[in-house]
Amino acid sequence: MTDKKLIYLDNNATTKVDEKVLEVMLPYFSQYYGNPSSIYEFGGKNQRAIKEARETIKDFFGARSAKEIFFTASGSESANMAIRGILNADKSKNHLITTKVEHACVLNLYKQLEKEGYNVTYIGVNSDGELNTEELYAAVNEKTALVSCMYANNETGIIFPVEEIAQKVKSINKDTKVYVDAVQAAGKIKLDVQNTDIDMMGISGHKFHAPKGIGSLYVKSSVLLSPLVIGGHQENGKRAGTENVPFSKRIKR
Amino acid sequence: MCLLVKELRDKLENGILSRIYNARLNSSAYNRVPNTTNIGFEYIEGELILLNLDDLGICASSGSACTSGSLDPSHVLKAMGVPFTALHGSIRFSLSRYTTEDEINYTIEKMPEVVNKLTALSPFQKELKELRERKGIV
Ligand SMILES: Cc1ncc(COP(=O)(O)O)c(C=O)c1O
Repeated sequence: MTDKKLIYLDNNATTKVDEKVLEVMLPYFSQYYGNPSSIYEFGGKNQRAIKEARETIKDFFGARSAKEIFFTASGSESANMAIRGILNADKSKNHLITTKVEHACVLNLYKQLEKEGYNVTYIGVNSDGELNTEELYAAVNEKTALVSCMYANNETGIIFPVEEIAQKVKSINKDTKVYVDAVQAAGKIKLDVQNTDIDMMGISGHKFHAPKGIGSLYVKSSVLLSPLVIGGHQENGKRAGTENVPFSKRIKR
Repeated sequence: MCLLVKELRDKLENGILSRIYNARLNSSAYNRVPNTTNIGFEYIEGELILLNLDDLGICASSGSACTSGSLDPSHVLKAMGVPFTALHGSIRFSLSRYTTEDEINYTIEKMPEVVNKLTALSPFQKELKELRERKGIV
C-alpha cells in the first residue's frame, strides 16, 4: 500500500499542500495560538497576522482594498455567503440567473432558492462547453437580483468571459449583482477584479496548494451584503467565528 | 528542464487521442485553464477506467464521481450534449505544478492498455467496428 506508485492527476478535486505554506502555518497552531480579539499582546498580535494575510489575498484578487476581502472555510461557503448575503440584503427582486454547468455548491443553492419562491433562469452551453452569453443577456430584466457565473469549469476547464458578462449585465440592469465562482480559476489564471463590474468572487485554498478549510470571498466595497453566519464582530461583522489564523495566514504564499 | 503544466496537459491529451481510436476530446475550446482535459472513451464505462487506473497508481476522475458520488453522468457534459456513447466513459485529468513529464509519459503508455482491455469487453462491438471503419482503421 505505502510504496504503491502515486500519479496524482486529479488536481481539480484537491491539491497537495505546498511545503513552504505548511512551514509558515505551523507556528500558529501551537506557538502563536492566541485569539486575535484578545486584549493582550499574545492574542492581539495575531490581528496583525490576519491583516497581512488579508493584504496578500487582496493582491491575489487584484482588489482595491483589504476591506473587500473576507475569509471563509471553503469555496462552497463563499458561494453561499455571497448569494444568500445579496438576497437577504435586498428582497425587492425575485429573479436569478445562473448557468447549467455550475458546481453543486451554486446549482443546489439555486434549486433551494426556487423552493423558497425565486424564479431562476439556467443558461446553457454549446458543444464545446462555451456559455450561450446572448441567451444570458436576453434573460436579464428589472427583477433580476443576481447573476452567478463560474470563471472556469471544474470538469472541462473552459473559461467563461466573466468580465464581459458582468459589464453587459450591468448595462442592462445596473442594480443586478454579479457573483463569480473563481474556485477553478484561482492559481491558474491571474485574477484582477478591481477594474471589472464583478461584485463578488469566491475562491478556495485547497484547489491551489493551500490546506482544506480556508477560502475567501471578495465583495466590492459598494455592495451591501447580509451576514450568513451571525455572532461576533469578526470579519467586519460579516462572518462570525474566531479567526482561523494559521489557515488565513497561508491561503496563498 | 521542466515542462509547463500546459505543455504536459497538451502532451497527455495528444498522446491519448492519437493512440486510442475511441477517444474523443470533450471540449476543443481554445479558452481553457492550462491544467485540465476531459476525454470521452466511447462505449466503455468511466468508472471501470478509473478503477483500472487506480490499480496502476493513477488518480483521475469522472464528472459523476466528483459531483454527486452517484453513477449519474455529469450534468456539465450533458449540458454540452456529449453523445450518450461517450457520456458514461468520460475522464477528467487535472495536472498541477508538481506533475512531472515521467508521470505523463507513464499515463500515456498505460491508457491504451486499460482502454483496449475494456473496449474488448464492451457489449457494443458492432458500433465499435463501425467507428473503426469510419476512422479508416482495419
Ligand atoms: C467550480 C467549483 N466551485 C466550488 C467548489 C467548492 O469548493 P470547496 O470544496 O472548497 O467547497 C469546487 C470544488 O470542487 C469547484 O470546482
